[in-house]
Amino acid sequence: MNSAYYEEDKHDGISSRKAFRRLLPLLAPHKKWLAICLLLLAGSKALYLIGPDLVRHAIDVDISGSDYRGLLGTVGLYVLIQAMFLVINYIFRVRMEIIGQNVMTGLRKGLFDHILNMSVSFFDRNPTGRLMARVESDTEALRMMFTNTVVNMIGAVLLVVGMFIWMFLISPELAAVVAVFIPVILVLLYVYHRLTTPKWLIIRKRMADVTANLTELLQGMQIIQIFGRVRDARRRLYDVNRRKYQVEVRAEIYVVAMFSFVFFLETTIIALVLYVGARWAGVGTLTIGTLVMFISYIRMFFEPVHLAAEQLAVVQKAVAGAKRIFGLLDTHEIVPEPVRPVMWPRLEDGIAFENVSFSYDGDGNYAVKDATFTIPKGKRYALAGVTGGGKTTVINLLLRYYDIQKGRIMVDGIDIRDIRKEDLRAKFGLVLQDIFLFPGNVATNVSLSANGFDRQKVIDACRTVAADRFIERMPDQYETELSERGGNLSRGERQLLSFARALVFDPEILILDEATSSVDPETERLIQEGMATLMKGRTSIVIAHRLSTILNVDRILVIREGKIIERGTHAELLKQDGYYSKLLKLQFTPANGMGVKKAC
Amino acid sequence: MLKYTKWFWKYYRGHKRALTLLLTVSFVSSALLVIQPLLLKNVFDLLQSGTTKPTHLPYINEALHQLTADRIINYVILMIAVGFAGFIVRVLLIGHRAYLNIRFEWEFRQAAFDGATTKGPDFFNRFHTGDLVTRMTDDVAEKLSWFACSGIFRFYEALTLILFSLLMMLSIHPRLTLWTAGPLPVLVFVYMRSSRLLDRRFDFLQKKISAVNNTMEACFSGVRVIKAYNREGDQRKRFAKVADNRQEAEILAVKSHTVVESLWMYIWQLGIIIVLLAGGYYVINGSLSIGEFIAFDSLVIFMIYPMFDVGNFLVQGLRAAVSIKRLTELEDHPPMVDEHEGGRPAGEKIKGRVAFERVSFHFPGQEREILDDVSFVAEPGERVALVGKVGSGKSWAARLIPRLVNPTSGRLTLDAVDLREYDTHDLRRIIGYVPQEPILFSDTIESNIRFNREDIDDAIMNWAIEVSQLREELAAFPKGLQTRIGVRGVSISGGQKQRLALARALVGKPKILILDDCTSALDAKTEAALWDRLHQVMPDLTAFIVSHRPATLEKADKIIVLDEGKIVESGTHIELILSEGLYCRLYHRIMLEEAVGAA
Repeated sequence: MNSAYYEEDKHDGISSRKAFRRLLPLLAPHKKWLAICLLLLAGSKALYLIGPDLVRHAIDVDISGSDYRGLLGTVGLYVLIQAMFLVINYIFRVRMEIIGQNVMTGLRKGLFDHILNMSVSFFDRNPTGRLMARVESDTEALRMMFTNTVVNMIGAVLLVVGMFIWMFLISPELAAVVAVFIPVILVLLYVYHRLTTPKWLIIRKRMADVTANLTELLQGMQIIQIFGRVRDARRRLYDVNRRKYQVEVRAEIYVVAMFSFVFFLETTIIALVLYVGARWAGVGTLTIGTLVMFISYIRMFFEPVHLAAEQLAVVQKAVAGAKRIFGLLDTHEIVPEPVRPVMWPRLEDGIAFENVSFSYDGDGNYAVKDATFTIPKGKRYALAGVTGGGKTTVINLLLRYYDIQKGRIMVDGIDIRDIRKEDLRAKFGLVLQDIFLFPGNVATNVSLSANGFDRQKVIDACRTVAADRFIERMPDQYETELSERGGNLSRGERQLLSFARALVFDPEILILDEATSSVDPETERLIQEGMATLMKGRTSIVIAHRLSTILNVDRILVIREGKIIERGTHAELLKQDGYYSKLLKLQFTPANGMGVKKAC
Repeated sequence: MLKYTKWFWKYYRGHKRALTLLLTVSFVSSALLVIQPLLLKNVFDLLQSGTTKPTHLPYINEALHQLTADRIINYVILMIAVGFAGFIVRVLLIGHRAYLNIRFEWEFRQAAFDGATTKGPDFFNRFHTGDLVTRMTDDVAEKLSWFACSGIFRFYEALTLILFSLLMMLSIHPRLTLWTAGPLPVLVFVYMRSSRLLDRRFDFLQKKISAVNNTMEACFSGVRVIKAYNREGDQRKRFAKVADNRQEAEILAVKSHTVVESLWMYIWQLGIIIVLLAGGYYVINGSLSIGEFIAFDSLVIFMIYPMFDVGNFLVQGLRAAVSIKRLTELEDHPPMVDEHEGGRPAGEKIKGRVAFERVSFHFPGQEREILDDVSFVAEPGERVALVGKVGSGKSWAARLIPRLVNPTSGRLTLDAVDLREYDTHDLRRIIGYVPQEPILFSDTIESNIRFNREDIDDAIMNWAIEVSQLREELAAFPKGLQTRIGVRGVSISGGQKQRLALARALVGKPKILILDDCTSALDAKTEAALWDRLHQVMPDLTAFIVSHRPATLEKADKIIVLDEGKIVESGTHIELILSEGLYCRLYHRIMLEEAVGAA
């Protein structure tokens, strides 16, 4: 436990430049408004610049001339200008935000659509959290850069340019004094950027290290305590903390030096301007008001300088986000559609697996090995076996979530790869161990539609499986909002709802992965009846966990380690007294399943 | 309020010098800042005096020019000097603030972690790792550490600046000060109230963002169902809707934000306007000089600008309070076992006779007895198996032995001496523990096995590796013992992890070995070989095994069967089978599971 480990940044795919180039087309449809915004920005900066000029007039003309009425006029104009500035600023900011939001929402929708097209294996490898970060936080970082940094930068440039033009018009000598410092500041900014940007990257890494080490140490605290290694654990965190601290302190030195020096520079320039103004300014042209105006401009000038230093971090985050987004958009993991799809209007004969072998990771670790069986139309088949034996995989393959490596899966003699996925899946109804609930109410969840569904169908389906009883007891009945992950429903109620869902879709083939959890006897009865109703007269494939279900099917396929080792009716299999018999005793003995009474 | 100050004081105590420096330097910095407008005043008054008054505009007269210019130079030099002094002082000030921020972040985090190391399993049950990590990183870094220093001291600096500005203004022209300073605080108050409106808009926005996230989360997690029922189109429509709602809410929030921001800018401008109007009046009627007027202009800014820090302090303060609460929640959780130094040594002389004497255990505040009046003895050299269903208490019985937790009543003894009398450190030294889920660390294999214990020579290392059947595995790894595992290393299989954990336990040459349901990765033959080896080399080793493997159970010297915390049966395998009780049923079930290949 001596050396704590340290993370490394992974770089995904495309370069920053390419990422930016791909962003531009997103802005294109908003060209007109962007141009208008540019004008508004220029206008607001111009108004901003007028302020100090009005103060100059107030000092030189009104106050020196003891003209209070004139002063009132000037101040009145000043107030007006400020008000105009605020109005234009408001319009500008809001419009920019609208543009930014439009672009980002478009991007988000595009990302979401793209992700949804990906195959199930893509979802296996990409945890939900990561996908959400792409669609939400990465786009947000981009937006921030766009509406804040870019806008501020352009605004700053406009301001400074306008400022200098005006200053040069009023007093070239003083303007020259200030202008001399521009290259100094630019150099300063550049040096600051070069010195600190790599540090920020390192600091982020060190923070990641802290998090990673904290996680590991906290997870393993029990072991650490038992082995008496607490002091070492503390020491290790101390070291990780210290490494971060060291980089941060060094970076902060630059930040502090930079900001303080800039402040000092501001004071110095003001002082120099006063000096030049007092000493060398041409007779008859320089006034006190002018000097005051210049001082205001100098102060104004340094605002964006402070800003520039702070915005670098925002840009970095955005660039990283853009890279990841476009990396994602460039990924295409799809189960391919057939080039010349075969039409398959309905199930006529049955489903067949022919020597099917499949491995999830494509290399050797077979989840299903050489499986061959047929399920005739109208028959109900059960898959039995232990966890991880291959039952779920069979279901995954039927729905063509993955493509197999060897063999063929056929419906009515047609290879499923030759049928369009939508066409294929439309014939199936899937009931999983737990119902997947989406934000919405009971009706939208059962029908899996936000709107435009047949409400009567939903009610009928719920009634058929006896789900209507508890639904009608709910505050808004079918319109009751379901809390996240269906927290306000019991497990039994959820099962009944998933039956109702399948019934609404009335599929030709039912795929059912039975829930294993135990419920109270009354709910249990409802569930058993619900299942019987669902399966009546319908081609069904069931992963069975209940004895009653097993007894209710036409045939059983026993899977072990991906192979179908036994098949037959329940009675036949029992008679064989093989694997199935043992399985039965293990899985289907009721209550606490404490084994057979035989020898005890 | 007091509680929070006390919390901070714990850390402030260690930096008294730096903090005193901050207090004085803030003072000095503000004073230096306020001198600038004073110097400006002098410069402009000089300029004014060097002008003629024939025309309305104050031109600078050639004749008086030279004299004035010389005196102005002095002021300019003074300005730059003061500016430079200010620069040095500011570096000290901001530098120390930044330094303390970072330092506090370190100290807060270390303290929180150190505290966590003294807590027991109930703590880690109550607070999940992710939650703990968030509190020790996000709360500490983002919210607390900045506030602890900068938050508080910028507030203090703001107060000194406001104070000095006011003093300076009063010394120049009291009535103008009244005009200027009077309305401003009211306006700042207005600004802060309107910020509340902003909060509401932002809360609304947060809800919309949550809706987007919820839709995404549900969709991606349930993607199989969506694909199965061909509902992709529907999901797209839903997402489009929540995304659009979010957009609207965001724009609304920006509108409010811009309005509030404009209000802020307006306050700034209002200050200048007041100075123009009132100050202009006083200049015209002669009670204020131009230089003083210009000085006021600057001073107003020095008064307004810090108010922002004041407002910020209050807002950030609330957030910091929340974070402190989150940290004190962790601190206040009672530590489990007191690790005391001293106490009886436990070394070579220990024989290894472990006895449970009417041991009961439950978590503080909970009623359910996890262990209930458990008594049994394990003689040195015996292999004791603990068997029972999930929740029977067998794992906790095992955890009592290395004193991970203390029994709530009854006692455990080692060689007839209560465990609590032994030196905890020593005790843990002679106990080897292998948990159910092997916990390893990102490091080399060797480091994981040694686990930082001294006096482990190579001979013992080799022996432990041999007995845990790691020899062949190590040969397959490119760097053998030096192979890194974990995040930046190779990933190893579950079975290899378990064997590593076993080696780690053995390498300490324990007198007592505890295996908590961890040999599932070894096949029956290997496991049998393991026990034989152990018995050969350490015949006096007392072993406790929580297991449900037939081979282990059959060879155990004693089997303790637990059910809901109580011992219901005990004896050898044969005895228990013959008695046809709970064990018998358990055993048959186990046999079935093996036959069927269930885990």
